[in-house]
Amino acid sequence: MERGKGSEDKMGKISTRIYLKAALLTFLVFIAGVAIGWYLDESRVSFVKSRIDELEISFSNLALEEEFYRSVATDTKTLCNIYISKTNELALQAGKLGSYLESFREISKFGLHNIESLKNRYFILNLQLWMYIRKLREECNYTATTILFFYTSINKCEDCIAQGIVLNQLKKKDPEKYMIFAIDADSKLGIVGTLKTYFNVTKVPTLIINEKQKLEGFVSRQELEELTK
Amino acid sequence: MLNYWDCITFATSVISFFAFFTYLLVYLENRKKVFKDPPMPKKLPKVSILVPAYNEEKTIEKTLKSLLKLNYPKHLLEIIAINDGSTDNTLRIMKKFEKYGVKVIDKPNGGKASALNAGLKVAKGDIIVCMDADSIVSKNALKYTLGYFNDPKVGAVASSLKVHKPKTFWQKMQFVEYIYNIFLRKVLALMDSVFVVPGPFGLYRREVLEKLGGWEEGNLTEDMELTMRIQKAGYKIETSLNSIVYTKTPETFKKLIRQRVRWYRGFLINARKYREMFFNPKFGNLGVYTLPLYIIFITILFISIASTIYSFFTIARDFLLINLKAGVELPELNLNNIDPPYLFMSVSTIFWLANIVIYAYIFYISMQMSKERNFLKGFLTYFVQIIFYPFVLAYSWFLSIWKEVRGAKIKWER
Repeated sequence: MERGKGSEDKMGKISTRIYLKAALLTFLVFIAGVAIGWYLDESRVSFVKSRIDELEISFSNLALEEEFYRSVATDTKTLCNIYISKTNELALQAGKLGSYLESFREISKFGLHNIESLKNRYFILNLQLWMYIRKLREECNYTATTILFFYTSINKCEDCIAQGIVLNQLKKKDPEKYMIFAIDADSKLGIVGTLKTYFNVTKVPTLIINEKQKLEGFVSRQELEELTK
Repeated sequence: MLNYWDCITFATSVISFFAFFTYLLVYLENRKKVFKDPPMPKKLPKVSILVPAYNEEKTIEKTLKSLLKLNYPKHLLEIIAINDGSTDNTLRIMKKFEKYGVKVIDKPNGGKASALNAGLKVAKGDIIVCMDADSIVSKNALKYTLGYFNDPKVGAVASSLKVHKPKTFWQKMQFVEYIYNIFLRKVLALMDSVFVVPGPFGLYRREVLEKLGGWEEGNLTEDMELTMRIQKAGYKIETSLNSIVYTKTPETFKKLIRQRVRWYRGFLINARKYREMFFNPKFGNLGVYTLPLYIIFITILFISIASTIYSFFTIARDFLLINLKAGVELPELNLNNIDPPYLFMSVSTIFWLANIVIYAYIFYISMQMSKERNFLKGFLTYFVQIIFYPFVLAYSWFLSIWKEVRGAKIKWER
């Protein structure tokens, strides 16, 4: 038998062609996976973007309507009621959008800068709403409690997440009473810097209640309810 | 942003996709002939079946009965049962079979390899079959396997192993693993890189065994050691999908871990013994692909299990701490009316899903190869298996490496 010879034929046989094909297919699948991931990131961005667009339009519309009524009517009482309910609705939607933004920011891997710029638009919208509510409070005898919530999303801040949950619970319990505006303390926006300086915010989480009271560190639900009675 | 978990996912997926495509391509190129075993030689060889047994009173009777039922001329078939110093009734049961022509050797305990070598000494066959005393062979096993020896380059032929009557949870998990291994062994045989011819119904050319000096006594996994030696000597190793052997598997978690620690320590010992074969193109696919991939596979297993456990615990800890602090009676999941749920899928999730899908596909092919028809049951078990089994494997590997590093005393256990 020629075993020795046969063995030499067999040794060293490497399926190079198969490996190359497999490598190519692996590459294609990998690219496809990344492309799907990228597509999902883009879908998230456009999802949030369309929501922000809608909110911005609703808000501009509200402001315009108000201006118009103000120029023709005198009965501010009924007007106030309309504005308050519309503002409540807007604040509710803005709150939902905020939680979308935060969870998308964690999931998104590729289009992060888009999410960041959307976040800026969102903050500006949110603060416009806050200013508007302050105005309503002065003119319409509006009694809602406004809470500015400064948090951070860069460093892992367990207190901020816990505070967020507490504020969500408050909002859920009494959506008309609590107007909560979450602000990323690390935002580069000028208005955020201004607010931080004005209220002297140095740590997170910090809560500003009705623009008067400053609470630093985590505040439990009971304490908050007590303070805002 | 991409975190460490994403990077692990990417690296793991690339390797696992590559392995998947290699196996798939090899299979597709040969799919018309995987079931075709070469016909038996015109002049049938004499076959000796060695059945080493140490305390196998529960199973040896069924094993010997199945061997007697083998579809092969009786005058060409020699069954040698070797009692390796059992302390139970094994020898008495063996003796009962003497009247059917089974030869019985009784020797003091010396390990499976020594029992096999004792059998080899008296065996007269041209083909030597190793048959574990806890397994049952299907009656046409020889008919399907002997033809491979027509090729003078073939040194050994392996059979397809299935779990015998899986009853317990852990046996069902192994059922899936064995099915998957049937596919893997066939593909590896097509790539000339089988590195274990398992104990139940492994066939060897007598000449090769004699030339290489039989089984290595004292080796934890003498089957792998011999296979590596045969590979190193340059012989081919084949496997038959039609030759099916049912083997008894550990029923409990503890027994399973014990078996795996023996296997994996055996792998580590033999991998070290034959380390020059790793990354060595002289040994073809076995050297450049199969052996290195096995090491990479173990590494991936460790990394992904470790990071899964780590992230599970950090997430669970944060979740509890934060919810406790926030004063929630029942922790609430923040699933705020997710409109399109796919929007909450990250790129890592996509890759994990892709992995699960491709390995489900491999399992589908494996089911076909092992002629398992109950796909529904098979896939249900598969999905349970992929959740639990990686942890079992990782734990066994961890124990094996730990014991090997500490140089723990070697004990031969089933």
